[in-house]
Parts: sequence; structure tokens; C-alpha cells
Amino acid sequence: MSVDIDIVLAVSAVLFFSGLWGAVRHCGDMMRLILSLQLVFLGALFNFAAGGALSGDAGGLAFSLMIVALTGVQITVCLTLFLLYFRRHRHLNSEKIDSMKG
Amino acid sequence: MLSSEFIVFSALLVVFALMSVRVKSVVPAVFCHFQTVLAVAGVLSGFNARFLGFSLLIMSASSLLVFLMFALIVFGFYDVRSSLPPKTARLFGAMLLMGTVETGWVFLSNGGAEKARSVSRVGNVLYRDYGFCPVMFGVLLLACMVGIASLLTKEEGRKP
Repeated sequence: MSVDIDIVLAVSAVLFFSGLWGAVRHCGDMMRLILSLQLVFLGALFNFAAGGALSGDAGGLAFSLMIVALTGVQITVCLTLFLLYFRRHRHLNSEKIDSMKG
Repeated sequence: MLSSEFIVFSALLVVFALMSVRVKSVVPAVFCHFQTVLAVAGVLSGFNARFLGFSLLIMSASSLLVFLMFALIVFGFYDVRSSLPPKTARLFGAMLLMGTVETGWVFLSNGGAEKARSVSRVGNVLYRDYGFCPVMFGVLLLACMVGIASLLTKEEGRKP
């Protein structure tokens, strides 16, 4: 029995919106914010990969590889910036961050 | 892909994604997130996209381990430990067992020539039709590494 594309889209939408919900819910905690953004990326990746695999188009899988690379870059850069920020200010609460305001 | 396999992995995926948002402490959230990634890799493996599933698994395992180490270093081991809810050890044990089963499933799930063909198809498409993208992402990764090294070196140089 094959899988319906609607179910795949629904699952990826749940993943995407749970990530968005997490980003809104934990907007004060930067580490949880990054985890939630990872969920958003994962939802997009799942959508590309499953859609590409079901339709037989390898382009979706190729773009999913790009999303994997992008997620790695995102988490590396964010953790470095967090480390630098934590060294100076000794906290990672995004509600208290005002040093980048214009 | 068998429908029952998809249903099991999708249910795990949705449950752990919601749990990773719901839990309060960062360490259980990281573990739930890794379970979500494992479930996604399982679904992708069922879709004959094992190469992508393994790439995702390797990247996520390394980045989440770094994330976990970062959380332990920044917040301190004892603070993180005291913020954990009770019965966390049992939950971690169950997650470890489930993760082992899922990883075993992803590794041992059957298929052969078709999966190899899928890898070669992705490679063909990636380097023939979208040849600019791997080059662009290579430059992006290089810029990321150079930027991180320069930022950290600059910060170290400021210390007395």
C-alpha cells in the first residue's frame, strides 16, 4: 500500500508549525529558539525529500541535501555567536539583549 | 514504502517534535529533537532515500552533541542536572532503547540496487542540473569556518 501525498504534506506541516510554535513559545531562550528553528528546517527537508521521492523527481532529494548543509551551517554559526555573547554578558536571555539595537 | 512503517515513524516524529517544544529543560528537548531526526531518517529510508537519511542522521547527531556539550558548559553540569524533572533517567533510558531500535531499523531495512540507483540519480541531478548549488554551499561552508575562526581568534586576542 502506497503513502498518500496529502498525509506526507500534513506530517511536514505539523513539523513545520511545531517549530514555529516553539520559536514563539521560547523566544526568550536562545538555545531553545535554535532547536525550534531546526524543527522548521526539518519540516522543509521532509517536505522536499518525501515529495521528491514520491513523485520520482531526484531534484527534491538534491535540494534536501542542501537543506542538511544549511542546517549545519546555521547551528555552527549560532553556537559560535552564543558563545561569544555569553563570554561577555554571562547570559543567553534574548529579551535582555539590547546591544544590537540601532 | 509500507504504510504501517510510515505510520509508525510519522507518529513518532510528530509526538517527539511536539515534546521537544513542550518540555521545559533544554537537555530533554535535545533528546526529543534527536528522536524526531531519527524518525525522519526512518521515513526517508522507507522512501528509498537512505543516503539522505544517513546524511541527516550524521549531521544532526554531531550538531546536537555539540549543542548538548555547549548547554552543559554554558549553564554548568550541576545547574542543568538540578533543572531536570524527576524520572528523567528512565525517560533517557527509554529514548536510548528506542533510538537504538530506530537506528537499527534504518541500517538494516531492506533494499539494494534500487537504493544505489537512487544515490546515483541524486548525484547526477545534483552535479548536472544544479551544479551551481554544491559550489555555492562549499563557499558558504568555507566562509562559515573562516568567520568562526576569525571571530574566536579576535575574542581570544582581546583577553589580557
